Amino acid sequence: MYKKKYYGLKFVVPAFILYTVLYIIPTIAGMIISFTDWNITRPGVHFVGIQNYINIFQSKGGPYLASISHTFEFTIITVILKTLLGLGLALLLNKGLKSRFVFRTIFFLPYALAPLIIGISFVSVLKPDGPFNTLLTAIGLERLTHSWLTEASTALGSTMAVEIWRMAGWNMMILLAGLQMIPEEYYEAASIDGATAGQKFRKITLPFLRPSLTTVIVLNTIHGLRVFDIIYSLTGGGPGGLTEVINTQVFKEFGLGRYGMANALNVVIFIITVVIALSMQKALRGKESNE
Amino acid sequence: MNNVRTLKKIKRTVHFLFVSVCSFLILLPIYFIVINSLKTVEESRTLSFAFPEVFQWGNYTEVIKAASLVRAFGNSMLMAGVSVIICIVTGAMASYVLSRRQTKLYKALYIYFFLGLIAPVNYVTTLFTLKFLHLQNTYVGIILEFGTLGIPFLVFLYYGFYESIPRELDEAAVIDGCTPAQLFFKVIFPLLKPATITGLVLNFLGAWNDFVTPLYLLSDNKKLGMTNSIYNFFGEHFNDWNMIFADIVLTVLPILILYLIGQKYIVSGTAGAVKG
Amino acid sequence: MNNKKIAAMTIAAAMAASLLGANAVYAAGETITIAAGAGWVKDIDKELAAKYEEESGNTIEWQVSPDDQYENVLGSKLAVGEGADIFYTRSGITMNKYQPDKYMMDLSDQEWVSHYVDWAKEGTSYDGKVLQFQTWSVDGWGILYNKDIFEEAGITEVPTNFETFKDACEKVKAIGKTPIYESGAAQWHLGVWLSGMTTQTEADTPGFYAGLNDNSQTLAGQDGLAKALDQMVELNDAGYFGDDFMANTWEDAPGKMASGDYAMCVTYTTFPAEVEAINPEMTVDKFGMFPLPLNDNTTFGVSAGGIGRCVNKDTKVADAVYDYLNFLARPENLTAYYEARLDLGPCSLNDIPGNVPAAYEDVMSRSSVSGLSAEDGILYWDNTQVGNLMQGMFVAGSTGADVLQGIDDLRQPSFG
Repeated sequence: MYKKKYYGLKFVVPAFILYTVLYIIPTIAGMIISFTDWNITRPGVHFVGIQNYINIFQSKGGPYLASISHTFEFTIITVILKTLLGLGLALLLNKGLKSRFVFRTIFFLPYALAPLIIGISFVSVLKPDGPFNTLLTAIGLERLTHSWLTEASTALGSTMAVEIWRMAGWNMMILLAGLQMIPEEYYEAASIDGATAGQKFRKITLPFLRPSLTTVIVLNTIHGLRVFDIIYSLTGGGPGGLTEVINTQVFKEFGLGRYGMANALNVVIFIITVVIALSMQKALRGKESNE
Repeated sequence: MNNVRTLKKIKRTVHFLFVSVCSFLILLPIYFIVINSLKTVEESRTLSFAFPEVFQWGNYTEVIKAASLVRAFGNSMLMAGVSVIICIVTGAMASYVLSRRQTKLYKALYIYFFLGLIAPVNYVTTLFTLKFLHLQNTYVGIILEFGTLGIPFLVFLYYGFYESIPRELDEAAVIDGCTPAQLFFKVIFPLLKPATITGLVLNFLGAWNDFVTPLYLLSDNKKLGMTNSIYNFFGEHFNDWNMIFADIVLTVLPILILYLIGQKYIVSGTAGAVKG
Repeated sequence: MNNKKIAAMTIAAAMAASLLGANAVYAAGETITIAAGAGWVKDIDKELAAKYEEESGNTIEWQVSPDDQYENVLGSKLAVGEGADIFYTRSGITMNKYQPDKYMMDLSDQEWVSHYVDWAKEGTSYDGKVLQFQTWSVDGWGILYNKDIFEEAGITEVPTNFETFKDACEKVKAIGKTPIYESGAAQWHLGVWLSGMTTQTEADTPGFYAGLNDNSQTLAGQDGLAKALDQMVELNDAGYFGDDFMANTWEDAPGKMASGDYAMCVTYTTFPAEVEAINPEMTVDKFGMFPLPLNDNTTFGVSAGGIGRCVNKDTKVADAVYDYLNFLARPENLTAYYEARLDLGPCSLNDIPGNVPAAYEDVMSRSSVSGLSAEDGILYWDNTQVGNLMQGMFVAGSTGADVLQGIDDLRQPSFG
């Protein structure tokens, strides 16, 4: 049995030490703080049990429950669209076009911009008299113009659109890496057998792509539940709290010095995400081994 | 025969046109940033798509000086560069054995790392920890922190890719007499170039664009990187849109170059990957 | 590559990094660290600091953060014991948010304290002790109006109550201009309206702020404030904010006022100088200012003097810090500072006058009384959060009373 020797724990040790000291310990410390009333504007820290959690589920001290529901809305829609668009782009740019490298770079570009920069820029682009509406008017779609980030009906949707704009290329990139690990011989063999493009996609591409699809779906979900920068810089949670998500609440609680509550919110989003992400992983990865 | 060729040509043209239209949606806002970086302050105030009267290339030299970008660039390269090596090496090693050994302990360890993708970074307690280690406000501290923050993602990313490398390959190498380190670094790791380049680019970018972590862990402005310099610049010159956009372009440029270089390797690394 | 090589590489890289990090060790004098929001540190601050470094041999190390992150970063660093030697905060009640007894040095016996003008001394004091060195200026938010547009619209009397204010807006609208530029996308700017209105409540019922600050008083039930908020909706419904005012940004405000398309704007008294800088024809004397006329208000809400520097109680270089502050307090340096800061009004210290803007004298002469606005008078008041709630009145149909209740709900947990 070579496994013990060749796949030994010592390979895990460097990552484990770094990760435990600089990540797990601070995180656990944060979780402990969530059971206190630590507020940096007042001296003294007291243990308050689950009081912060009770306040969250009664929305006492902030629009916590509304934020949780906005976060879910944001996550579900962005995960679906990011993954589909990313897959579409990856398939379009995997091979065939000579200029595919240029296009890949273009689609990846938004991800290279820091989210806050994207926020700053899109606030201008999406203004009522901004370039986006100008463009719509120019191509005869004037009735579709909106004050995108400040109307109740479009604010949250616009933040989602910007997030999808930013991340579609990232999805493409990971899926491309997956596509490129599919041996060309499989397609050649299938062609000889007279398989159609659809059959090749179902029988070769999808099964091979499943690990990378799992990766992007799970990561998209996590990113969605943890969304902050984009919303913060586009709307600041406004107008009137309509785009408030959990992490904008965390930021505000930190700003108010209410560390106990800020950490409790962090724990809530953490638990929600762990449950969802692990069950998704299990469902998606589980299927692979059945192949 | 001719018909088939024409059909192929049409298909390719449609393909090209479709992708072009899509990329237009991406390029429009980018164009917006670039064109506004080349205007005078007055022109940039309207934030339009219009061309500037005269291209103000001087904006770039001015912003490099005003925001001390040369130093910031060096800082960013140091922090993002070293941290990415740390997390790629440690992450790839850990992920490898975790994916190969499917015992309870290893599965639990995998989940332990996976949690890092989810739990938000707690800056206050992290600062406490670094202070305890006497690493607050040092390059070493921030590099180790950036490295650590990248580990969960890399473990996760590699995990999926290792599964697509047949175990028979490992066995063959073992029979050939490879040591564990040789097996990993000489046989397995090179096969994962697409994943490694992907992880490298994404983590480098993550560290490059992360401006909140340095705010808490590095105090001294002289040690801050390019992204932080933008935000400070934005705070001090919040009406000089031309300068802000020039600053943005300069910050994104190195990332793009890295991506372009990376792409070349992704492709060359693919050839014959799994054939072994 | 084997394990050892990897380890060696990592260590080498770490060593290279630490070498780079250790370059400041050989400075001759002390190093003074200063933490501030980016918008508070101007070129002149850096220039004076450089001049001080040259003169004293000490080193100034800036720790500047983006404005919207600064409070969070400051709070965290103080909590961890990593606070800078000097840190900026707003003067007034905001100082209470950073445990003054624990983190702020008593500066009462410094020489420059005797030069403070009254509002500066009051704004930087806590519990009878002076805790800040402030070189800023007292200012408030009123309604700036364009005199030419008022004349063109046939408005002969400057509005003194809500009725006459509405009349004026109607007349401006009638000549095809937008009555008010309101940057509704900047939540804090909406908050400024209400922050100025609480001055009226405090004037009518003295002790209102004190009650809010010891948590024996609520904002809910203050009919005057609720009415003022509802009147803002009325203004918007009448179209006086123009189309889509919720998308207006504050950064655009000087340009919009310079364009001559807008008659009024809620702003501070040094604002006309910024407008003139954009459009030289739109000179400072073309503007006047009057107090917010909502709920027939005639009071003028002012700041506690702006931004001040606190000295960290745990600083190890106290003497150098005092030396630096004394350097900044020298008349020639103050003069240089205020000459560069045209955005500031009257000077905090009586050695030099500062730049008292015409709009300031104008609005003061039209006010019955001036007093602290909510931002500097009410503990745990946050204009951004207040503005976020106020946006709800315009997009989600909430009422003024809902907003007041919402602010109470936000503040409550902070009292523990």
